[in-house]
Amino acid sequence: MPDDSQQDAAALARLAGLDLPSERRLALQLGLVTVRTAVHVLMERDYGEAEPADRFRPRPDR
Amino acid sequence: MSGDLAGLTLAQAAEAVRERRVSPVELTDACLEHIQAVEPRINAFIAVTAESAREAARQAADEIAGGNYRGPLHGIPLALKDIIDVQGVPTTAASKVRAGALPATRDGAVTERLDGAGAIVLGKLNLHEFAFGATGARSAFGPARNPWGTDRATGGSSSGSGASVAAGECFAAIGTDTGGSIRIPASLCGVVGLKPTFGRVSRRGVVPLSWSLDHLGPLARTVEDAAIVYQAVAGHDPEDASSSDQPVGDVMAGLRDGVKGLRIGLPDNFFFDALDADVEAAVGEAIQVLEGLGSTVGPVTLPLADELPAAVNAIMLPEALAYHHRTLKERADDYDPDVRYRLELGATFLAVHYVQAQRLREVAVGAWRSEVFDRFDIIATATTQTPAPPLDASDLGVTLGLIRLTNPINLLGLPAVSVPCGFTSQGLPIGFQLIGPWFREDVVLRAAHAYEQATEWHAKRPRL
Repeated sequence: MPDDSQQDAAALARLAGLDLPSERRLALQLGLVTVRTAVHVLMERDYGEAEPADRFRPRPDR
Repeated sequence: MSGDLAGLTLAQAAEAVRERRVSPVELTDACLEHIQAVEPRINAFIAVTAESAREAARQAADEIAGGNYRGPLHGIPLALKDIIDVQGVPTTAASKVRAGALPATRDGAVTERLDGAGAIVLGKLNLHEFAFGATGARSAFGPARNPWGTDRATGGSSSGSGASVAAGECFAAIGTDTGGSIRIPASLCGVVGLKPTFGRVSRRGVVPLSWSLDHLGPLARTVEDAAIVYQAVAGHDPEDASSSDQPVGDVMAGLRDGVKGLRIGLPDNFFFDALDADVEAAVGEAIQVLEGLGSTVGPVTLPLADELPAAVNAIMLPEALAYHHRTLKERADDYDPDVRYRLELGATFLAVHYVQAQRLREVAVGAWRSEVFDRFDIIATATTQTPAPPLDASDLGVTLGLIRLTNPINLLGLPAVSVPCGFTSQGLPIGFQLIGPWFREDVVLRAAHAYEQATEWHAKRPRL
């Protein structure tokens, strides 16, 4: 299976406004392995009706 | 004499000042002399503000002599991590990116509170560049060195904060903690480090790493010292959007109340999976000490523990890139290569990942509230899986291991303290992490104080 992760990394960096030289695109490609693991965890979960966190509050019984 | 003074705990020095046995000028001179003696080996300070410190000490001495004693920080020399603004001093963030930065025009909120308490600012402390790393090894000013072995990393990112307190250069220091950056250097340098609840200490006037995860807190030689500093700097700040308006309360009042009846949870997942043998043994003994003091210990499965680090990354990295975006485009070569790499990695997360991570945080907070802190008052873990790594170890590789047990707690926003609990066979400090419910710094500090007073680890000092 062809590995398109270097192009993925370059495209993502460009979308973020970063024009990376080839050696840095390669480094970013290597980092994508870790990122993919993290985002897989995040995208597999069913969050139900949970809203993004705001600020923390103490226990109501305090 | 000066060495003796610098070796006091903050509480001992405060008592001596209050009773007018020692003047703030003597204390400040003692610290400045000690800094001069050990800095060539430790490199904890980026800037020593000797002149303004001596002036502030003279003013404090005059106030105290005039009967205007403000409290336990009055006339006590402290130092701050150099991402916190101190008026009149440049904030370098330990980066070439900020070379030539103008002096800060206003104190950060924590600096203001310390000043209001009468503390003496000795200077600005070294750190991992822009607080974006856990070893402390990457600084434009060279790394701070661990007083327990100068070939060892201090841990970071508050590297100078941990090293300066361990070396006796100041009585306490302020650090910041986004993934463990107070607790990790505290653990690796053999001192106490408190990360309060998210929002407890204002972030105003601090260079951000990640708005959702940044915390400020003290590092000190004892739990009592950390509590004194925490008490002074905690509280609502209307100028910080994330600042909590929950009352702080008096953490000193119950500090000596002990742990009898306290329910301690011992994680049976994630936190004990990969501990170094010396660390596991020391933490096991520490838990036995707390049990012997009258607390009850039981197993707890911490909800979502395996998933929390992914959410930390999906929040921290994009937020860091967002803050640094302009300078990264304009001055990329001025960043340390590893820090630059972490920033660029922030581009690989999509908006949907970031939002899901914030939702996971909300889900996890609810789960820990109902499944953990309804049954337990405190969770006990190691602070780091390993002791201080060699200073020349791979920064990226080592960092992932160092932050593993601390960064989930940043996502949850819980208060946590690292307290010394032993040494490895190589003589390197080990830290014990106690985690409490939101806004219960009093419980965390009380448990840590009880443990500390039952052991001798906090009294050990490195030979310099």
